[in-house]
Amino acid sequence: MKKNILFIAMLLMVNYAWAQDDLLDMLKAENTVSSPVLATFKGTRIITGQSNENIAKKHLNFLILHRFGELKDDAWYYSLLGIDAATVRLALDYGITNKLMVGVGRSSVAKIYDFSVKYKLFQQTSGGKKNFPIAISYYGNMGLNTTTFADPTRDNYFTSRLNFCNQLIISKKVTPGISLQITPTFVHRNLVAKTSDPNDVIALGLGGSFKITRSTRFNIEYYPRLTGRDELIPNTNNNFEDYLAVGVDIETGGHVFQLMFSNSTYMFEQGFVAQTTGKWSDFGIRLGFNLSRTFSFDNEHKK
Amino acid sequence: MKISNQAISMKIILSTLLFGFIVLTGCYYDKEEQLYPNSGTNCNALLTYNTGIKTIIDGNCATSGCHVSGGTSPDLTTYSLVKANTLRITARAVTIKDMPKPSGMSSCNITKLDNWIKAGALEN
Repeated sequence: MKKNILFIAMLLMVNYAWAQDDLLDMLKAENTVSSPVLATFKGTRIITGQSNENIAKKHLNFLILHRFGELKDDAWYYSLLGIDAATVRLALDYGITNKLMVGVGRSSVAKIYDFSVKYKLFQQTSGGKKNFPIAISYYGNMGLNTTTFADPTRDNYFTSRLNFCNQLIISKKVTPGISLQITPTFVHRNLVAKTSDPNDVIALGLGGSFKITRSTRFNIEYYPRLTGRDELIPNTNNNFEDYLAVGVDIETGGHVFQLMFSNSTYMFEQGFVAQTTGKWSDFGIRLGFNLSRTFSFDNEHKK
Repeated sequence: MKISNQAISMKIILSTLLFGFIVLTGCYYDKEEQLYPNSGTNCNALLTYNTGIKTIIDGNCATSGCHVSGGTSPDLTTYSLVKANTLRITARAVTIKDMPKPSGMSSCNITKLDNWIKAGALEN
């Protein structure tokens, strides 16, 4: 309907333009208005890491994330591709405005509760004369480890349980089928084991999403660490690994179903950036899935 | 105009709360080795049942209702009982790390147990 009106208006304008130059100018002005680029990624996360997408205002997104055991641990039929060793993260994300999203999550690994905020700083636009070529968002997350202290007899501090993540999410929808993202990530842990272990880890997240069919996409995500690469996994002589995951998105009705292979058991940034232990080269990878469902609390726009 | 003012003030309140929370709880650069010099350094020290392993077993396994007499098998309340079950202890606490439930014991305790069992699980 809108398009038809625009088309008729254009025709009328073209007719008048023979006589009136200022109307022709108006037509030109109409063409230079840029519109926001939407749906860069299917969900709020590419695989495990955040994407530039937010939940719409007054909408609540419920996420169930699972990562299973490492494929190398057992024969695939013995633990059914690691499903017997499942870990889970439940999360709720709520859009306060279309640009501001807050979230809370809970992981079974280390019993971590995490609190997050994501804010859209700039929106990618297209179609106009002056377009903004990329989208930029800020994402912050604070994790709270709630396991009992390893040694209750010593002086334990609440702050030792906290870890933080700050991210700048820079994404671009290159073509309708290809979206790319660069995610500079800063992870801080208040307490680490060894004097030589760094409290801060900086990583440069790279992500991509490629359309296969209308409702499926192929995704890849890699978070190489720029600092802290020589930190050892406790009680071993092995270093932590860089997080790498590949997966597919399948959209069915109101759900987005994401299926992936990743080398981390963690489902939030502080964990998978700094504490990934699996090696892709010797099948230290895990099957996993994310399931998300959005509920609307927007009574004004409900029909 | 009024609505946008409200939206802006809500944003300010929210961001103040958030940043306030982060600033108050604070950002620390603690290292376990430095914070707890006495416990951090001796994870690799070789213990015997009486000089430390009993404490670990009593604190993690032989807790009430668990591996005690009348609790879950095996009973791990005495040296001879623990010694008889070192293979099972290694399997569950050191290798699989699912004992004590649900996520195992601290990495320091695991190292101590592992070293003790490998050295022959001595009593004294």
